Amino acid sequence: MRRLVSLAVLAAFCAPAAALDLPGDDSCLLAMRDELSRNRAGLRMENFPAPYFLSYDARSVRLLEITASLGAVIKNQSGCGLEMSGGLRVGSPAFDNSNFYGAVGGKPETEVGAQDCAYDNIRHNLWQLTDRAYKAAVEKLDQKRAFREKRSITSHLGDFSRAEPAVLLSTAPPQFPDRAAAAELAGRVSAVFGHYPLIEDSLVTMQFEYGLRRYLNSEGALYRGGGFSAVVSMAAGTQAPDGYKITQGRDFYYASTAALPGEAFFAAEAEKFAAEMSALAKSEIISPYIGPVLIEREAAGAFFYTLLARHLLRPRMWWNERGLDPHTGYFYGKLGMRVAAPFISVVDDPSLEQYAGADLAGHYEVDDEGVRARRVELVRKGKLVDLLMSRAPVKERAQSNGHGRGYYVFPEGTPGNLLVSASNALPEAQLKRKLLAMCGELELDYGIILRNVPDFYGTFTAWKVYVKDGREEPVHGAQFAEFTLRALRDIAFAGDKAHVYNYDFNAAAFSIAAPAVILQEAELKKTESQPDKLPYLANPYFEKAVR
Amino acid sequence: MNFAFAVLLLLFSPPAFAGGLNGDKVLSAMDKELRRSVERLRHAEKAPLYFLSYEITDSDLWTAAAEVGGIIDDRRNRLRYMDVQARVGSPELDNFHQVKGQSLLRDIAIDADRAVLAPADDDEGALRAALWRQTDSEFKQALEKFTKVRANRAVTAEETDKSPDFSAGEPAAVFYEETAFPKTDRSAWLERLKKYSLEFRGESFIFSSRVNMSVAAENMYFASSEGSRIRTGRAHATLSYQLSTRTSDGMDLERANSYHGRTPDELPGDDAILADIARSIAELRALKDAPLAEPYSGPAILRNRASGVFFHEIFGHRVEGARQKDESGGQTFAGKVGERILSPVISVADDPTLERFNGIALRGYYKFDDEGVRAQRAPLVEKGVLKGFLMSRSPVKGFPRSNGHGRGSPGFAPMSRMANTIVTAENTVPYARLREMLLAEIRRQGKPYGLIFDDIAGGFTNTGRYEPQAFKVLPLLVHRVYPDGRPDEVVRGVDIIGTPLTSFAGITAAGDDPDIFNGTCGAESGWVPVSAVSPSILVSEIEVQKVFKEQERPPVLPPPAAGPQEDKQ
Repeated sequence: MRRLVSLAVLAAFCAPAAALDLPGDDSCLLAMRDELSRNRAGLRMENFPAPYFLSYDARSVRLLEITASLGAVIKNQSGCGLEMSGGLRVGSPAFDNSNFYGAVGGKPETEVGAQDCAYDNIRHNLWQLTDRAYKAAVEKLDQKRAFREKRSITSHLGDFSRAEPAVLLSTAPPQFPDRAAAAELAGRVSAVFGHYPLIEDSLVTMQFEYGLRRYLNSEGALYRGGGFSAVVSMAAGTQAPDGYKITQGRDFYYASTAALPGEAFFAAEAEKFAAEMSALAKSEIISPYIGPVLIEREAAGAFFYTLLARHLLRPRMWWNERGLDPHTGYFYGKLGMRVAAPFISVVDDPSLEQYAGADLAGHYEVDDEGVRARRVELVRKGKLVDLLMSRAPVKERAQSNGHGRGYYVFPEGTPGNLLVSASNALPEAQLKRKLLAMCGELELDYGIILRNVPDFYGTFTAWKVYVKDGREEPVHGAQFAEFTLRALRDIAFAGDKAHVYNYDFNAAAFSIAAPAVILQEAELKKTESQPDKLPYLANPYFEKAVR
Repeated sequence: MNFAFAVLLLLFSPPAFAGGLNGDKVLSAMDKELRRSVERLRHAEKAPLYFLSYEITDSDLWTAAAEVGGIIDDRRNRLRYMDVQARVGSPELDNFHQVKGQSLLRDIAIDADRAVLAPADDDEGALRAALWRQTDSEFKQALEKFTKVRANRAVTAEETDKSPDFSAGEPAAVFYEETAFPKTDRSAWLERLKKYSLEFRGESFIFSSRVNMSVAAENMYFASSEGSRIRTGRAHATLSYQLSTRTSDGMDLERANSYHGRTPDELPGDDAILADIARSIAELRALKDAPLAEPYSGPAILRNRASGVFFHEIFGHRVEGARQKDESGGQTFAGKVGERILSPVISVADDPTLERFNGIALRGYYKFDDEGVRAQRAPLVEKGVLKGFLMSRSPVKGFPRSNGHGRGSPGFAPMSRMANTIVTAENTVPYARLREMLLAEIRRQGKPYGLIFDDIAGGFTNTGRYEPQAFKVLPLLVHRVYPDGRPDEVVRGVDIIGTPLTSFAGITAAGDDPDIFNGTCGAESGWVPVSAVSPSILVSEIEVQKVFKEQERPPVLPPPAAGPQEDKQ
């Protein structure tokens, strides 16, 4: 669990950034403040407006990545870095250089700075970054004006809403695992796959990151905070007897070194994963199926990622020379409409650090536009009741709710911790029974359970579960004949226990806590792709002569 | 011995390696998996697997960089990459044969899987499993490609060069040496990098600057079905800096310098580096204020290091063996062996066995190439006459064997590449005399001025047939030299252009001042370290054109001054 020690929580409506009382030993913040102040005072080209808004976001990070396979370390890399990005606006909040696809200024300017936050280095890089951002902004504003003038645009939503600047200086106590011990752990966990001869390829990856983020803007927002994260991933690949390749992964996220389980936990998870992959290695290809489908475990997270999280992104549609904005979520313009089954509710609460006993990667305090993160009720009884708002207004919502996130892209409405619940939830253990009952009513021999679907629009594995005796059989090569947002409305039942899955989008980490669900009806078909040839030789690792 | 017999002998008589593996676990794993694969795969399909090789490149690399007094990079990482080459068919025709209509070289590059990681631990089981997966993948790709090759050959015209696809009968090599990471005082070097980076801070016209350092130890393991079992390596330390500015008319200008050694201890001390930095700053300042050069054709001197880059770009790439039989390539020199192609005063060889020149480490040094062939000196031009090519194991007409120049970076199939390209000259003269000769040539041609190219960044050259066989090289520092005694004048904004045969014919004299350009060369088989050594040369006619220019304005504000107190008021 991430522990942030709050040093100061100051009142909003604070003074301009140049007068901020910064910790004197934070040379990075000092350099950011001084360069922001200098640019606000003097950055202007003849015949062009000066910036009306400027922000800097500096992220320092210490990283360790270890990858191991069959007991041997493949990669053991560590490093430190500091990267800075800047947000710069010209024009006015009513009409500025944002929310528009132009020929220039397609993404925020970034620079790499000194790891030790050397003051001169930070300022020098911010100077270069700001100069580039300013030139791109004035050119983009002119392009946007030209776009407006050649079209019949009578009303405009405004580009940048007013927000109370957040001021929060926190510090996250540094924590990092021992590199040698981590490498040994990765090696030992990866060795588990050495007992499963049907697995052709396996990797265990451990990524540790301790980061500190510093943000300030010309309105007086000031933030410093951060923390630790660890992601342990297992990946394995095998081939079914007919040649189809099957690859899957498992991810585990932790927000502190203290939360990291020991070797016994990871070894047990590796055993479970390897056993399941070995079963899949003997599976048959799926037969066409129409009927109820139970979606659980990682597949449930991917289901809500694909249908919910991705479509809540960027509720403001950008003007685009080439037609509609391709990145705007499907829920754009659908406020008040039914988007999910009537017993489904969804909130987003970035303030939560844990949920259902699991650490949440989507926790944050201040968004990337200097606004305090707020809890938002998004879906109530299946209806869309609010949006993930950045400071880009939409017709129905004028203000940010602290979800403007983005580092390598301009901040846009992005989830933090998306929590899905059902009002008529069934005990999780009863879902399989419910599935079988539904199949029985339809006189089906078996139902389908999805447990790991990396891509709902691609090929995946599934488990047949027989109505007669509850026996399970793995199958591979499955695809949805049709998969649309309607599936959210076709949820017939949901479990009572949420499980946490962690993702990131454009470098913004977010979490989905969701229960398993049963879809009333889905159509699955056999993949159209052709299988690969089996390996010519057996894996030498499992030959007696080698081990 | 005909090829067929050679292949049978090699496949059915695996050599004994009692003394070749030195108890090395990596080589041992490679040896076992290679033997197993050859034995069971050679007749697994109708097209026989006639050659299989494994290469593992173990790279231990520390990189660091400083900018305006701060360290922006400081990483040391060790990675192992593996490359598997499977050849099916026969040396006369195999899966590496060019499919007509496609570039031979691009085809090779596409065949290669990019940079596949191997276990960094010396674990035989894990290493063999990784090699097994890659072998299976390469073998399947080889079979598929060979089918396409045969079909394509059956329906297209005969090749001009009917050389085999692979040189059989190269001697198998057994060699073992270990290369350790050079002793490096990391903290002390970081402080030095910071110190150097601060030298640029006080100069407000410098837009960006950076000081880089790298120390690397590379161990290359190689095993082939022909019996080669090799471990060899090299260590190298590099320190470099670069600084750039932007003129008010939007032209980006830069100066850069680099130092090389086998170990960090061989790099120059503070005094030399600080003096060079001061000189580079002065040069950049002069360049910023320099007038724009106009398109021009006339006599010029290419200073030694600039000449080295010139030869590398314009000559070296055109004598890479594989290009001589590329059906879509320009084949500038393919039919010219024995003919004069350069000035009679110039000779060129490529010699990877040279570890140093005048005591300075050469980056293009190695003992074995990436096909396991021992590095050899390759005579290319003697007194202006073309003698041969840079050869990998891809034979060309008249050159059936490799001369140890099959090179590639991890993930890329090797092809013939340069290593240490050494240009020498007859009747050399001191540089001062060469300059007098330039002035005389300017007067003789009635030109208002001549040019001296002090530094060249690099360049590119078209070798395909569709485009003109032209080149463009990118000078960094150019002086105008006037015949009337006016001082030399720095100018900016020109690129050298031309065609190779014409340009080389114009070399009339050379200085006695050979110097080294150490760099990294990118081509179809990836990035490889190279060196070029050349004296300054006088060319009777060189053509320059205006450079492509960015349209960015200089920064609106000056750079921030040093120290945290400056803008507080």
